[in-house]
Amino acid sequence: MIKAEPKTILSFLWTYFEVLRDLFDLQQDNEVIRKEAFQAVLHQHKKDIKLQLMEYKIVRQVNDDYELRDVYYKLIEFILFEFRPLLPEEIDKFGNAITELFRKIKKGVDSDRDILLERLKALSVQIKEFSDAVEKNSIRLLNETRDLKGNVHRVDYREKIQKASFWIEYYIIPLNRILDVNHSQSISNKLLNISEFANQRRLNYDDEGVRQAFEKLYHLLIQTNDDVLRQSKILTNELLPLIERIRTESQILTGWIEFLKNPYRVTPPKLLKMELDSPYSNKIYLNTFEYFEQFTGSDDAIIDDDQEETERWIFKKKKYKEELVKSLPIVNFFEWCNKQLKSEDKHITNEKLFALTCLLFEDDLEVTAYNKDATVKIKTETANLNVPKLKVTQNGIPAES
Amino acid sequence: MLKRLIILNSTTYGKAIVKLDDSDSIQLVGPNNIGKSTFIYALNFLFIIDGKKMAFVDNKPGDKETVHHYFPSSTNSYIIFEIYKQSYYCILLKRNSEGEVEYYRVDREYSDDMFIKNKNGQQVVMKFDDLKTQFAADGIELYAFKDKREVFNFVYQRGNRNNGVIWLEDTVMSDGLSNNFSKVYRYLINSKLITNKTLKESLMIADNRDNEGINFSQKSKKDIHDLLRINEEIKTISDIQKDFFEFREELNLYKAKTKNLAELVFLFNSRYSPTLTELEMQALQKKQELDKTQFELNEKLIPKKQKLDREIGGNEVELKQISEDQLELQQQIAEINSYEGVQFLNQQLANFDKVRKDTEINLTRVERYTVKQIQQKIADLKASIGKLDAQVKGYSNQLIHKITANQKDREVLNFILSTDFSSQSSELISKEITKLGSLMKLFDGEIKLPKGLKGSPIESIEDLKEKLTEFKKEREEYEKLLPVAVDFEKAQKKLDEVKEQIEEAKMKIAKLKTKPGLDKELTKQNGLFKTISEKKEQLEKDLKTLNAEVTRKSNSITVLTEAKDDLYRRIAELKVWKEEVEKINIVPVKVESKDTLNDIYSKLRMVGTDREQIKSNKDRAFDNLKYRINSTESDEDNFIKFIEDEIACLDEKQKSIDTILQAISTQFANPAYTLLKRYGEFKEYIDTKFNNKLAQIKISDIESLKIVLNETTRVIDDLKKISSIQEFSPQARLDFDQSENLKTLNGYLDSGKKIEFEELFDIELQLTKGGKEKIVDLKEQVESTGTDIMIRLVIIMSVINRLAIDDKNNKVTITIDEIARVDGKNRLELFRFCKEHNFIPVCTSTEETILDGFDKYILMFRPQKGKKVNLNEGYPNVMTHDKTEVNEEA
Repeated sequence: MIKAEPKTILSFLWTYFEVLRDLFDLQQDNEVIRKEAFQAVLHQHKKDIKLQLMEYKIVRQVNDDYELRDVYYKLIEFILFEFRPLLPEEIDKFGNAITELFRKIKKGVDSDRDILLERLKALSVQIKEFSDAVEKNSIRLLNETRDLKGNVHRVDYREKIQKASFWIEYYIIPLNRILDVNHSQSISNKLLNISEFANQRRLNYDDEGVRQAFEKLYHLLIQTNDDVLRQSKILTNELLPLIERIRTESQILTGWIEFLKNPYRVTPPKLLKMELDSPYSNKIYLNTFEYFEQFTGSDDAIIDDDQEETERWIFKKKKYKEELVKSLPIVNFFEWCNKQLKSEDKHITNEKLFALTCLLFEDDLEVTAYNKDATVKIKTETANLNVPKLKVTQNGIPAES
Repeated sequence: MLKRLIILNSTTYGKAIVKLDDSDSIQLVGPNNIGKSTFIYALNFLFIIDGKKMAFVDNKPGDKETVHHYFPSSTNSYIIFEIYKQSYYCILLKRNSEGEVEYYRVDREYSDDMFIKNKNGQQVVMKFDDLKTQFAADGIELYAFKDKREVFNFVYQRGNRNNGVIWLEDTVMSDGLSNNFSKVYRYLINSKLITNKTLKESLMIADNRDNEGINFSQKSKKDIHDLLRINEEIKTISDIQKDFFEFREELNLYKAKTKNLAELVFLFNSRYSPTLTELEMQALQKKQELDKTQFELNEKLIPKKQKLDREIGGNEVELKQISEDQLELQQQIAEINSYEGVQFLNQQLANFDKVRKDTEINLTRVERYTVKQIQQKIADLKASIGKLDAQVKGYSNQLIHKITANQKDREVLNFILSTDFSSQSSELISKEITKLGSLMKLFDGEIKLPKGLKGSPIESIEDLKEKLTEFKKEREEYEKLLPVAVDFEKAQKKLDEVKEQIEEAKMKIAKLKTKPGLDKELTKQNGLFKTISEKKEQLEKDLKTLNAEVTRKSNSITVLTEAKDDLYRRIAELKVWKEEVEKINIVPVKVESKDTLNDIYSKLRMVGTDREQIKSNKDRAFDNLKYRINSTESDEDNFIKFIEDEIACLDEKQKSIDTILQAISTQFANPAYTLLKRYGEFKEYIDTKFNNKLAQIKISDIESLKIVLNETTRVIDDLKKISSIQEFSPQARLDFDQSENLKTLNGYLDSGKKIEFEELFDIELQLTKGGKEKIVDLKEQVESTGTDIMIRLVIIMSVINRLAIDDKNNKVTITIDEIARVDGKNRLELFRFCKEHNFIPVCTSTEETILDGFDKYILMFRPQKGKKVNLNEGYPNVMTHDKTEVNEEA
């Protein structure tokens, strides 16, 4: 139990970060912080903070010596971007853990839900750690290669090649092994097998919670493969130029790489952004309008009163169909239309008549024609229409009934 | 869920309020072009948000023009979406002065008085500034969304414990201003966009597959080629090792020779200057000596010799002249001695001269007259003499002498009686003579005498005598002249002879006068001859001595010239050597030596030649190596360093290349394999999950409905081939041509094409009708138009239904254009589906026809000309059904 407030600890970290950084460096080099070195650092900074370090559980004693607790070590490692490179064996360890967890998940997929969810969570953690490990390795490599590319330390060509060769062996070969889809035991293949399994389960697992867990796992797997592949590409891009003999003694290049290493140290000048509008651009009218709009007071936007609506005829299909059905059987459809419209309004227009015509196409009505020449004349406001004489009955029911 | 949609002061609407949550289906009824579509497409602003992805009439995006259509004013045009989830709130939209739509949230339900105020009996839409003031006064918070992303993230929220407009399932993925829901929902705002392609896309979106695919970027191809190129380079480096080592040896030798040469150059340079200076000094001395001798010879001795020669020559000429003069003098004296005496010669001269004169006078006179004239003259003169002789004799008896005694008067009369008087002017006549007689008294005439009249003199006797003598003399002369005129040439010849005789006499006289001088001169010449002869002898003696001196000096000049030339030749030679050495263009290296300049130079030549030879070999080897590894390096040391580095790194590079090639092959094989797996998983999703849902839907006479995926065999096969690529071998360049798998990959790499997920399959619809199964191509119309529309809508809604949480409070408003195309029965089926799955269809029809089956009809009346459409949520625009009547199907 830590008695101090979280903010107090964070404040402590902020205040004594330089001390912690030195301790971190010592531990990075020697795995533990030797007692003498520990005291020397405190003495050098003239900070007597051993008590707080122990009380806040930042440092713990290992026999006579000390070490930063893992959580703080990782925190400092992360914020300094100074990662310890992982050995290929350590990366393989993730592969084994992933395989084992997947085996268990497959086996217990239909068993206890909670255990399954826990395993899925654990698998996700392993995959994330694996992905992080690969990324950390890349970051560490990038830090080193950028130094070499900028050739800050004026490294000899042979030494450069040796370094590049070492890195290639140390970083790319394991990545190649991870990503080799033609090797059944590669981590990539294992992840793809898991993703195939996760895909099936995210789509059809009965339990919503488990389904969502599989869904998350599935997307994590996609992202992980993409990430590892991206790391491989980054490393290739990074290392390939190193085996070429390029002139790295360029001040500009060195400066640029130094800038990239810490792009926020100084604020770079803003690049100019120009927008050109030609007078014949189709925007020019509106641009000009907007310009002058600034200097002119806008008029009030008055909402007009709702005008008194003149009586409008709207084809209410449902209503007319009901009327039609009531009148069935109809001997002469258009005559019926004429009567119907006249009963509402004296004005019979083509539009109204044609709108009613669509009732003929209703599924529950049967339309029968008479003889060939049986036509009827209907007079509208604008035309005399010759229309066929049609008989309309209920579909499937005899007219007589 | 969306409860109400309100549009205030748009281009079309003055005020339009439609309540969406109080019915399960709504039809907008109104004439064409009244704004039905404008109204329903306003949903774009809430659910799509990204203007570029919005789809208005004719699939027009939410561009500036559209924004201005909905918001003609930036101050008092609004769209308001009233929403109820956990509580009521409104999302208010307005246009800003830059044509962008701004989003605000007001946490309360809509009421007219929030936005519209009464002004002079008229309803006026409030300006935004007034609105803000009013809200502040009323304690209503108007929250401005920072940007569209914030709006998007507010509208769409996962889970159902939030106030989002749409509650989404956890599986929904967002990507900027879009997510699976919004991507598909746009087809439910604008159902015209539903095509076979969009259906397929929607199915993929439903299972988050729309972003799956493999990218065959040119970068990958470049990487492979870079690696193969590096591999080739490694191979080349490996191949050239032996030649490289030979070149390196050759270069070392060349460097050694160069050093040796540099030392020799140093020695040469160090010797050269002093030697040259010394030689130049010597040469200068010789030259000065030579110049001096030459000067002495040319300026002193030779001129002196020439002077002596000239003097001797002069003496000789002088002596010869004197001898000749002596001889001539002696001859002259002898001749003079033979002449007569001077007196005799003078007399002879006088005689000859008289003869000459006479002869010359005659000859001169005779030239003016002919013989006849002379003879005439003589005759005339004889006559005149006779006349004059008579006159002299009768002189005193003449009239004139007797006419008057006064001499003066005689003279006047002599004048009057002469012709001079008669030629006077006639004016002198006072009285004209009228009559002549024998006695002359000048008759009766009177003549005035001219004033000052002088008389004419009268010749005296003496004059006449004198005149006579002259005539006689003249006659004699003519008589002498006559023989000359008769034989002129004889007279002339005689004159010439006389003249010669005169000259000869004169000459002799003159010479006789010069004789004493001649004698004296002869004596003088004899003395002079002696003096000059003695002088000449002395000069000849001096000349002999001088000649000996000249000969000696001339001989010494030859010797000096040769010595000087030798020195200059040496100097020139050294300078040529120096030029040669300078041409070597090498930095000298300091060294000690006792060698002479000649030795140094000969060594230098030898070493230089060797070095040139080695250089030629080395350069050839260098060029060859550079050519083989395609290098442009010009510095040999850098090149050697480069190759040495490369050789040292060969194994490591080779290993790295193999590993990276394997990584790249994995980077293709893995996604290809994964994509195939994903396709399998998607298929499973469609088969089990999606089709299960479709199977429950009844459309028209179709008993069951199912989506069938047809694999695109070619693409699937390609993916299988690519996924089987194990590893690129360093010989992959060849394998690309031979291996089927690599060839397939290469095809994609060449085109830089991406294999999209949608390329893996096509969709078809499996219908069961009358117990029979039938496969329908969704590219064609499925069954009737109405059935087709319905099936497509149902598929899209099924997709959406999987993305949005299925909840009564999460109803989704959809719009369906031209609903009349769906017949009554299907329409009812569609509405039932919507109701069951929490969709609220808002439909339009192109006709002003009220169709059966809707819960609510919104009647849109055409406004008076120049006015905007108003739409109320109640009277007079809303028409509803009695619920009992709707159940027509039953």
